[in-house]
Amino acid sequence: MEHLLCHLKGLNRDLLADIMARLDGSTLASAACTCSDFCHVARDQRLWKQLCHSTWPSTALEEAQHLISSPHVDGFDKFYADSYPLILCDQSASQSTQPPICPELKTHVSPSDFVSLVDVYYQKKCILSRVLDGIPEAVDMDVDDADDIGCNWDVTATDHQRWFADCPFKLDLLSFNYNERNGNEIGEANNGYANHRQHHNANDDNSMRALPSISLVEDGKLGGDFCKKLEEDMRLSWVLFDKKRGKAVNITSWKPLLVQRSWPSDGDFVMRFGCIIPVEQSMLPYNLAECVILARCGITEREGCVRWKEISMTVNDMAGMHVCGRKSLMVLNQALHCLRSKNHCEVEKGYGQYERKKREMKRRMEFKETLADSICISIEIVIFVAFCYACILFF
Amino acid sequence: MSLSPSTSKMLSLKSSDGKVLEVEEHVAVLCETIKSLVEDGCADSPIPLANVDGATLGNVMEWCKKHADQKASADDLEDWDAEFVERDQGELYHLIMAANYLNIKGLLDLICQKVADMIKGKHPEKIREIFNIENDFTPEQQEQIRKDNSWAFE
Repeated sequence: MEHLLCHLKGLNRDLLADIMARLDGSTLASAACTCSDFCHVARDQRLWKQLCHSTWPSTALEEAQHLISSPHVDGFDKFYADSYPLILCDQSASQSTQPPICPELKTHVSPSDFVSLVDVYYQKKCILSRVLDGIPEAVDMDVDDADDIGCNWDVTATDHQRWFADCPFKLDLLSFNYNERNGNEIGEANNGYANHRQHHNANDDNSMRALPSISLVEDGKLGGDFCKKLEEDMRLSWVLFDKKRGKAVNITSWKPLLVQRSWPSDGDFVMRFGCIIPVEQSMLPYNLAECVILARCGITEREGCVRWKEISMTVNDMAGMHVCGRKSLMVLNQALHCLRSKNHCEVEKGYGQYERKKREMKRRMEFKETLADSICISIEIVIFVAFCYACILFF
Repeated sequence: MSLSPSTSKMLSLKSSDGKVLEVEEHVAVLCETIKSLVEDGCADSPIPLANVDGATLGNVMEWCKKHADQKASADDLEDWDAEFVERDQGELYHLIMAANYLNIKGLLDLICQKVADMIKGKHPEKIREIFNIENDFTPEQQEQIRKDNSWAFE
C-alpha cells in the first residue's frame, strides 16, 4: 500500500532539478505546463542557459552572452522557444487567412539591433560558431516614429544609406577580413561591427577546423558521393535576434536544401539553406520571400579540413531575384513574427510546396513568353503576307 | 573475489523497518554517508538508516556490490544498470530517495536519467499521468503558460 502512495511527485526540488537538467528543451517546456511546482523548477534560467549554450554554442561566446543577457531580454527560455522551431510556411493556411498583423510589427527593428548567431554542425558536432552584431553596411535610420521604413528613408538618407537601401541585400558572415584590409570607413558606421572584428581575430582559427571525420577521403580523393554525405551530416543554424525587444527567429532549414560542387575538379562545395517568409502583399509579389543562406567551403583532400569561404544570407523574391536592402530589412522584421514549427518534416513539406509553386510560376511565365512570341511572329507573318499580296495586286 | 581481507570488513546496516543487512565495507563505502561514518570510526554498531526500508536497502546494496566489483567491464556495468532500473515507479521513487540520502552519486545519476527518459518527448498531460500530479494552475495561469510553451507540443 505504501508503494502506491509514494509517487514521483514527492521528490524534492533538488532532485526534480537534477531530473529536469537531463531533459531536452521541448520536454522541459512540456514539464513546465504540468503543475506549479514543476513549472518553478522547469523555468530555471540556468537550465535554459545551459540548453541554449549546448544547442547553439555561438550563444556561449563571450560577446553573445553580453548581448543576450541585456535587460530587454526575457530570458533564455524565451530565446530557446523562439529559436528552436523553424519557420513554417504553410501555404494552404496562409492563403485563406492573411498573416496576423501584430501591433508590434509597426515598430521596425533597425539594422544595428539585429544579431546573427550562426552555428554549423557536422555529424551533430558544432564545427563553426559565429556572432555578427548588427548588419554591416546598413546604417541605422531614425525609424521610431515612422510607420514605414520607406517613407522617411528617401528624405533623410545619406548616399550611403540610399546605396544600402536600393542595392541587393547580402549579409556576409565571413567577409570582414576583406574589409579589414581595405580600411575601416564602412565599419566605423556601426559600433557593433567594429566590436565584431576584434572578436574575429581571437577566433581566427575557428574558420579552419578538421571535420570530426569519417572516411572523408578515399584513396587520396574525395569520395564521389560526398555531396550526399554533406547533405546528410551538415546542419546550419542561423538565429536572428532582435536585441532590443528580445525576439529571435531561426531562419534556416536546418538541413541543406541543396549541396553542389562548385567546380567538378575542385574541393569546393556550396550548400544552400533557407526558409520561406510570408510577407504582406504590398511588399513583394506573391506574398512570399525566400531567405537564402549560402555556405561555401573548401575541403582539403589530404586532411579532410574544412575551410569556410563564404557564409552569407540574401533575401529573394519568388522569381528568384535578390531583394533590395530596404525591403530585406522589412522581410527580416516580419520573420520575427512568423509561424513556427518544431516538426522538421512539416517545414520541409512547406518548402516543397513553395518550390512547386515557384516552378509552376516559372512555367507559366515561360508559357506566356512563348505565347507572346508566337503572337508576335504570327502578326509579322500576316503583315508580310499582306504586304506581298498588296505588292502583287498593285504591280 | 574481493580485495585483501583487511579492507573487506563487514558492516551491518539497519533499515527503517528494523532489518539488518551485513555488507562488506568496501561495498558499503560507495555510499558517501556511510563512508564518512566509517572514517569517523562510528561504524562499529549496526548503522541505523532511518530513511531507507529493507527492500530498498537490499536493492541499493545490490547496485553497490556490482559497482564495487572491479572486474566488471564498463559495457557489462552499462547493461546491468539498464536492467537494474527496469522497475515500477514506486521502487524508483524509493531508490532515488535512498540514493539521495546515502549520497551515492552514480546511482542517483542513473535513476534521474531513467526518470528523465521516461518523460522525454511527452505531452504535459502524459507527464502528469506519469508523476501522478494534479494541475494546480488557475485558468489564467494555465492559459499563459500553455501559450508560452505551446511550441513544444502543438
